[in-house]
Amino acid sequence: MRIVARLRKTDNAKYISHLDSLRVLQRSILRAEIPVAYSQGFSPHPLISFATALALGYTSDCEWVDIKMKEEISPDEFIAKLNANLPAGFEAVSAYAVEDSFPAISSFMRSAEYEAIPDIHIDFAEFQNAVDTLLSGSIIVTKRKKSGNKKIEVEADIRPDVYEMKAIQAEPVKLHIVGRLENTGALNVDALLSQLNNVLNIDCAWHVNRKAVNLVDFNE
Amino acid sequence: MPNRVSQAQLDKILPLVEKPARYTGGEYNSIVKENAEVSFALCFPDIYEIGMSHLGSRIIYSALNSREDTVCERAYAPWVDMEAQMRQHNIPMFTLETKRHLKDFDIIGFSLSYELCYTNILMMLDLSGIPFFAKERGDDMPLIICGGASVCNIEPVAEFFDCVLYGEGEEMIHEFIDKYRSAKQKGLSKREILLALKDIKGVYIPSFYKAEYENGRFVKLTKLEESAPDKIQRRVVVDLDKVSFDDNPIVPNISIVHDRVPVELFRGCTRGCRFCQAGFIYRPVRERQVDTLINQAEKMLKSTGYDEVSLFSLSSGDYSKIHELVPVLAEKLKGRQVSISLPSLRIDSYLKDSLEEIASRKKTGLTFAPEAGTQRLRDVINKGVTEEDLLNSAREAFLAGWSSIKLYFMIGLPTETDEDILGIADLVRKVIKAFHDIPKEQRAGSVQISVSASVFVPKPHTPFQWSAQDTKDEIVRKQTLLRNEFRTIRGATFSYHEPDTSILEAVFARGDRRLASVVACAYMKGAKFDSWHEHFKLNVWEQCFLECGIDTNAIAHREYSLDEKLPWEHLDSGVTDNYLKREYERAQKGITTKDCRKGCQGCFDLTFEAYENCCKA
Repeated sequence: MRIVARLRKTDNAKYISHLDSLRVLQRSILRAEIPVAYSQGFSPHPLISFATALALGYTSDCEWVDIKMKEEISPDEFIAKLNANLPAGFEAVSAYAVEDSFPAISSFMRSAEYEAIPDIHIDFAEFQNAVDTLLSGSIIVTKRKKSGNKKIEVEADIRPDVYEMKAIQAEPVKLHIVGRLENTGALNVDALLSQLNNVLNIDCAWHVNRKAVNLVDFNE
Repeated sequence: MPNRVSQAQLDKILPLVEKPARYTGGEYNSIVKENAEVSFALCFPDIYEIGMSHLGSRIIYSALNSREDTVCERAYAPWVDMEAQMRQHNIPMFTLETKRHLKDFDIIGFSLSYELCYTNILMMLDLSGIPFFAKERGDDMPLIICGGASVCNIEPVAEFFDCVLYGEGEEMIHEFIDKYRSAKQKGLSKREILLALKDIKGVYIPSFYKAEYENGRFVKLTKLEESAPDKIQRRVVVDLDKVSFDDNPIVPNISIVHDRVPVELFRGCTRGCRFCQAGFIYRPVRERQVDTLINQAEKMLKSTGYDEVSLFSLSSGDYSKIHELVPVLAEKLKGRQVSISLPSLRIDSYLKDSLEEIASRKKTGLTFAPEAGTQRLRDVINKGVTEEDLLNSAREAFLAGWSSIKLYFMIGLPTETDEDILGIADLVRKVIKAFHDIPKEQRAGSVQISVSASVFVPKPHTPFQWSAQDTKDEIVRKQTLLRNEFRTIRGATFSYHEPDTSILEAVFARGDRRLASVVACAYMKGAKFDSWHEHFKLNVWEQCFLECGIDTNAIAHREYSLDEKLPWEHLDSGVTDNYLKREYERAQKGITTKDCRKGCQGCFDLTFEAYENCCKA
């Protein structure tokens, strides 16, 4: 059987990279004595994976993980055991038991919802204008890409990846974003925010929280 | 209320630095206490990944936090990018647990394990707004103390510290806090606190002594405080099975250098290699019982979730019950996806079989350390390994499926000649030949020998404490000689250290109190992270030695006479001066000294507290 579970990553845990977070989760699962299965072969490793990576510095209310078990465990027991063993900033929120044959949770991902908050004051009218300006045309960013053995920079329009973007009045202002998140590609939120900074002609840091990952054919 | 760095301040700078989780704390098993009577900031003057891998400071962290009256929080040297951000945003040095300003602790304790971290001490004090020299700090400043291996000659940095703890800390730290707490309750001044602390065995108060020099050389240490001890005796824990250990080690959120459960088999080493400081300053050998070790391994695996146990000590293969321990532990770990690693060990066939039974995941590299290229020189340094031993071990390893081996050597050892240098290449040729002599179907792939040669550094409290280090030109000449030799050897790679950091290491290993001003000078001119190749600033150091009138040749490259006064003589390691002199003289004649498990060699002063417990049987 497998457990698919939703975790939250908050506070300073946002400074733990994707790979390190995976290691943190592996060790927490081992401490919790959750009966995780191992891969076969020369270098066996526990079969634990995140559905998608989270950028360093982002918090999240919705990190899906997929864990293969060697023995049955109920979702409730899984959550209780794991939460007793996670370090500060990690929390298991919900969990579901699925068959081994059930597709990987990542295959259900379609989009994700983010909230971004700047670390400075931005005038709301200006902010709204900038958001509208961005949405009105292409959003060209440079991407690093491999071409043969060389790494080259190419320009790409990320506007099609932005499904929704709304300025919200608050102090400081907030930005609500819904963007593409699929196995095959995802909205680069950092690139979008840096374009927004360009339009606003400011240089500020954004605190980004992933609020939800929208899945098809999988209801919590 | 102590001052703390706010989350908003951190959020401003952490997104801009490499590996921000170095600075956030929050690791599993880290300890956050609301408040306690005594607050202690435990500092390691290198980055998080290195400091967290250091067992000694983890022991102190756990011992201090086991006390209800004490809170201990950690701080590591910020990497250069973080330091720049902290300065730009006026953020002082803070601890991981509660982000408390270092300056707002009662005690700041530095763990010092090697010489090239000294400028980082000053960086951490500087970022805290704390003056470097003890005499410049008033009663409003925290008590700045240190401990660790470097204490056996702390003189080069002694003037930075109010108080120094010499030797093993498990028992001493409690006596220290007891005394400190009662002094604090009485509202004593710093001087009165130091007077109370000086009576603890192993405690050294540098300001109670004055160093004197004649003709540019250290001649003696005079007491300024009559009641201070003449000699400071290194503290030793007599029974390692009884002393508390950290069964809930912190599990870092990022990869560190030694990312596994540490199980310390024993302290000390009986081999008596004459260049090795650890081999002398951790005497006598004290082993833990098999039951204790199994219990520790199981507890720590459970509390950490690590999947690897490291059975370590100075020479793990010498653990007298290794053949009992490894199979029992392997049996316990069977089916649990936990591997056992045995650093510094010759893997014999018996151990190999029991290790193969459990998940031994990676075939880790095999390392041998012959240290010198000829039997004559190996006898001089008392490295009890013959060419035959090495070739047999290599052959066994090749037959067991290894094809790559690391070999460690030293260049610049006392009495070394070019013949010894060329002997390194000869030995490597023989190892390669041993591989090729094995029938193809019984060996794996092609042979790869990585040869690494470090530069000899004479260290205090060893028989070579009087020996000269080769000059830079001589080291470079020998390295070139050997490098040319390796050009013709197929199947071997040769790497070696730049001599400059090894020379600086020798200067700080054998230096006296006058070096403190050199460290301060170098730090002010930008030296930091000196053990990191990319940050080492030779020109800065050269300039500061010149400005401070210190002749590094006289410290590093000179053969000391046996009757001259040594700056570290008052720091009594327990091994007598006469024993070291005897060993020095035997070395000159190429006479070896037996492993002391095979008979007591009489290295200790009979009054030394652990004397009764050493392996003299």
